[in-house]
Amino acid sequence: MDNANKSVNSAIVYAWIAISALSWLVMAWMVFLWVPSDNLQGIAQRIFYYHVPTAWVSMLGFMIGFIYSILYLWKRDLKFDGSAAAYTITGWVFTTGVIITGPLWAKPIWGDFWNWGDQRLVTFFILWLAFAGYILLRTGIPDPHKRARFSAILNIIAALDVPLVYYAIQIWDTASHPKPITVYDMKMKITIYTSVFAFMSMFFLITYLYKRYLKTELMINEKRGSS
Amino acid sequence: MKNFQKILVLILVFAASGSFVYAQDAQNNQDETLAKFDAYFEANEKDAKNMLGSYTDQELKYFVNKYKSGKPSYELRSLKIIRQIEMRTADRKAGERLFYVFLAISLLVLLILVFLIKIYRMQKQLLDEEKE
Repeated sequence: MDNANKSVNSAIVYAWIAISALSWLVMAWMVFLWVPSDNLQGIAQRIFYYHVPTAWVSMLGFMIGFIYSILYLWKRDLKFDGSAAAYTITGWVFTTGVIITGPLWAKPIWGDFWNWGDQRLVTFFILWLAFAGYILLRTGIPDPHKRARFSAILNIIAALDVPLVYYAIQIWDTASHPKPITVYDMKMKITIYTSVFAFMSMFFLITYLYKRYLKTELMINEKRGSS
Repeated sequence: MKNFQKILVLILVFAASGSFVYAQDAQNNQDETLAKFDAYFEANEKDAKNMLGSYTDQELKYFVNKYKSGKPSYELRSLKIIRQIEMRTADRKAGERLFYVFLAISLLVLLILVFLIKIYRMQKQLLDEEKE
């Protein structure tokens, strides 16, 4: 029965990998060959089909991590700490992706990689630093419950920056980061939805694999501790 | 014969009114296009820059043709010189933008792949240690 479950799980993971890979190929075809260029930004605007979904999934990761952190502090179950870590660390990796792709769009459009006067950029960078601190904290504490407690608290504090990042454009009108726009071109709309699907699929796949690793680690450590 | 003449007159009337409507429609479209460009000239610098992106290729072509018609040869050649430098700048900019798009997407894909490989290797290492 256990073996049967394992093979069903493996089949689901392989199907998931295939769907993710296929959606990334379709997205690449759409971004490079199908969607029209923006009239003002030209080809540079195509970075947005990667940059925007990366930002969305990273924020989603932090919010799910935030919920699991609260659940850990409430239930004191290391399973929730594992889930919080998987979502938060994967979210941080995608945030790094946002910090890479954003300046590479800004350089040809603004003429500069970064603008320290832009509140959206600064709050986002603070978010990236805060979660980098979360990862460092986790590697520095060997006791699992102590590590889980401290990292849950840090996760909750750092996640408070997420709404600030989201509303930075509305709060500070001086921000030069592009404001949310309504896309009227049907091809552009379809491409952005495809990108969001491709990134979501990849994000949840990576999170699932990371969670599986943390679960195995926890099981092995518990076994070693009891023997 | 009389009926045939009546039909012929009717066809002529229809054709004339059809072409009149078509001409009127085309005239209206042209007027609308010109009005759009009037708005461009009246707007402030920032709005004018944003408006440039909203024009279709056809509208731009129409405006350029309208502007060119009746201009002296010296002015048209001067325009060609301006166009030459702008084409070269646009070409260079497109190359730069292509480079940044390529770099951004490659680095992002590389980052995700490295993270995936790291998870896979950590999992493998853990299971190998457990086996030993």
